[in-house]
Amino acid sequence: MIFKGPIQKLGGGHPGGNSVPRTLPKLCGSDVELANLILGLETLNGQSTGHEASQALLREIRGVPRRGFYASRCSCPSGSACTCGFNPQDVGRRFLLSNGGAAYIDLNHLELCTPEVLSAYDHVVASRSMLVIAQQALAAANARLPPGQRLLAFANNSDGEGHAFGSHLNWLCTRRCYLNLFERRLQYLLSLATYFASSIIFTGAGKVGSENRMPRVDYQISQRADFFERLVGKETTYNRPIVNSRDESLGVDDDMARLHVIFFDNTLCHGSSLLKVGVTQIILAMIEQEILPSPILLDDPVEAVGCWSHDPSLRTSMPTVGGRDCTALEVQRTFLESAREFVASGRAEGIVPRAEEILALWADTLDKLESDVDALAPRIDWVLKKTLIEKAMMRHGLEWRDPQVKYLDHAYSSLDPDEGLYWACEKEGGVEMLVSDAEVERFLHWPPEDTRAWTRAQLMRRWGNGRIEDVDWDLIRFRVSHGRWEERRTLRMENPLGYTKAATSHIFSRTLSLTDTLDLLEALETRPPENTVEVAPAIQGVGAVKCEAKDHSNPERRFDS
Amino acid sequence: MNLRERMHGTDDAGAVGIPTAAGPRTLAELRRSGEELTSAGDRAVDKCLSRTEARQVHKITQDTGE
Repeated sequence: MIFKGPIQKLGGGHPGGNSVPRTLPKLCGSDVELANLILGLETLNGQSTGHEASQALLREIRGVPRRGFYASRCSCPSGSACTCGFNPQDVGRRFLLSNGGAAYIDLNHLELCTPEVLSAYDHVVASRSMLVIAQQALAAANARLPPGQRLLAFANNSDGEGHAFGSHLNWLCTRRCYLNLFERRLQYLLSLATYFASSIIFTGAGKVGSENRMPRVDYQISQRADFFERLVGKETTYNRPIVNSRDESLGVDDDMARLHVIFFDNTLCHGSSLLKVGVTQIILAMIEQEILPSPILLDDPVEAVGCWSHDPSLRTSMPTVGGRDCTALEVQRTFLESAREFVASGRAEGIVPRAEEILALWADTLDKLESDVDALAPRIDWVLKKTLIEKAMMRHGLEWRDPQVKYLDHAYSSLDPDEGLYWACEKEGGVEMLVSDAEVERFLHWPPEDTRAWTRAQLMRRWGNGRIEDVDWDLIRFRVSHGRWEERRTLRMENPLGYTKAATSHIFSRTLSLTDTLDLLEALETRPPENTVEVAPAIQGVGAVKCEAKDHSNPERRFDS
Repeated sequence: MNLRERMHGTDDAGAVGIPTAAGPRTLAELRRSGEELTSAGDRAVDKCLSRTEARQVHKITQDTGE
């Protein structure tokens, strides 16, 4: 397969010359913050009950606590600057023995973090298993509340009153890819932003009304679109950027980086969730291999995402750098065309699991968006929500501005299985199920086998009761007993692709002491082998080659974690 | 059965269906029944609107997060 058409292999001007850049499996982590409140609980001055609700939910989730540097609550005098180390964005963090994920409180929202996974399908499974954990916590917390109070939790991204909260995705990439995106070859940054902005047509969760001083609208495609005000930046709670440049490695080793994506809505439909992660994996793999994923670059992605979100008819065209105006669907088709050639060339093998299936679903979705949007109600959240609400308005004589309609918007994503409109549709077979309940059940009790989450969970299960002093994504700190004295040992797991079940089963299948286990784990070779990506034949006329990875990043550069 | 078969397959002939929680459905079945498709959701909607808190929960004021 020879690349042609929109795909441009960018050569020249980069120290890499004609060598094919090193590429890494598109490992993914994710988190979602819940809207949480307690009905019937009086607060001072009518303040949000998020603090009480998130605390009540977190109390019901068991795990090994992250101690680190953080105080559990601020002990500074009221009104003075905090000097005690309290971090309101990371309260009560605990790692789950079951699947290696985590839960904590971030600014009065319960936040759930999936364990690291390699495939988009596993992301769907892992994110749903975390929601099940939240549903179980919700039921348990409600059982403890006094009569007259009820705790509600929603898997959405805004309250409709100007407050947004995140659902983030994070991808492993090479440091070279990261530097290309943010410091050297900004066409990739603009291409990624173009992809993100146009992707809302299948990743949007739908929202009644607008926020953040955006023009009034009855219904829009995305929960988050109104809140993006910059193309790129490090912020997450104000001046939100479409592409976030926060360089927080969470332990990945020196030539790896972690791309922190704050753009997407939290989605419940399997199809939306699978496409959100799977298509992005393919696009990032192309960028990492220095292939521009589409010839189309938006002139102003920030303006485009807002305008496209406000037009569920999908007819709005936005200017591109070349001067042509395009709809989001037209833009997505150019990405799909390039991605098809990329996958057909074999360059996604070992990088994006089940890439051909993702392409098929993506193509089918774009076709239906063009010809039969209603047929996507079983697959895409914004379509399903809109269908439900419009029918309710007809049956009950409601208008878009009626409070009941906004209530239905929230109720769609309620985690209460008796209230949540999504769960009702799923229960009755009205939603495409791309992963099974059995798979979700497995991730309630077991970690992914093909990432470091496996070893994290195994160690917490064996020594979480007393021997673990601290735990984080990339390390576990132990207290090892040697008779009358104790030693502190830290196992660092900087490579998220290492410490898999295959790599460690010979250790965990035996009954070993903590010391012997740590000795064996520390002796593992966990760095990914250099230069291992086999590139398919005849890319720009070049035969099959072994990639020669060269690290062009600044060797002095350190991670920000 | 791969995803392409799940999504397209021979569903119009009814041999292969899209997996749903209620068992495989053909695409034709799902398409045909725009009304049935969301009937469960409609019932849930009506149940929600009948709750006394329907007018209360449209405001779920939250703290800015992330």
